Amino acid sequence: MSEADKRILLAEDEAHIAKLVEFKLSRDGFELSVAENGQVAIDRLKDGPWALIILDVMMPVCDGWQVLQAIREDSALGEVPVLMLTAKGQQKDMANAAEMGATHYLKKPFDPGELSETVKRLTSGQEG
Amino acid sequence: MDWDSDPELKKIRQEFVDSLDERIEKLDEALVVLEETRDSEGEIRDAISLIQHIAHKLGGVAGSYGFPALSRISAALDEYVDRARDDETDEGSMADRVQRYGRILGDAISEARNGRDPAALCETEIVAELERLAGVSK
Repeated sequence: MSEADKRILLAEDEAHIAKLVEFKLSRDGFELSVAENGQVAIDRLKDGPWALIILDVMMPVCDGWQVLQAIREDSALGEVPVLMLTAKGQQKDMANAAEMGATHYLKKPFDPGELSETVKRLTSGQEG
Repeated sequence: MDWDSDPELKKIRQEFVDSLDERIEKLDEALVVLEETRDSEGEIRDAISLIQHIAHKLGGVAGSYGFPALSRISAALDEYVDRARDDETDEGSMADRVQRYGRILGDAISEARNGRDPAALCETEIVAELERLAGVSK
């Protein structure tokens, strides 16, 4: 992987999820930048390039949908895959994710191994 | 996942387990409000919201740390509150139920605090009732 292929932006306000994701993905060779809310994530979009952006849906300040919208409105981020994480895996959330341009969707609580495999697949150019 | 396979992983998991003390404390404070404050609708509403927030957060994280039963009970309580609000359940009935289910959630969190996933609680009638009302399938 090139350096650019290793960088992942994670927007997640639950510190214990962020720590676990950071641990697992760093062991897989990725470099994580963790944003603790949606606005911090939006501010960091320009600090790419990003191989992947992982967004929690329910966050303070700006939620994951607002961050996803900002990503899809930024032509520089057009090709970046986006993985949404949510504790409420309702059909409407999944439909919303697809409609708004998310690449994949994982319901919490996720298995760290499944997250790892999903991230490897998304960053290798294989669609979710 | 083998939580003992890596010292850092073991440490991260222990930090999560240790964090349960604060969640139990906040849950207990909110449950006391439901038990003792039935005149203030605002306080009841806030207490229910706080309990739901605790349940929502735990539902999303506990399973990832090897506590799937705790996630299950938490997610069911979170879902119950959403449904009760959507159905416009009267606040008194909702408060009674949230208090009842909140106590079970407290028991479940205490089990996890001692390193045990509360699987046995998931087999109780009260959790079956909660899941039925929440519309959650097993």
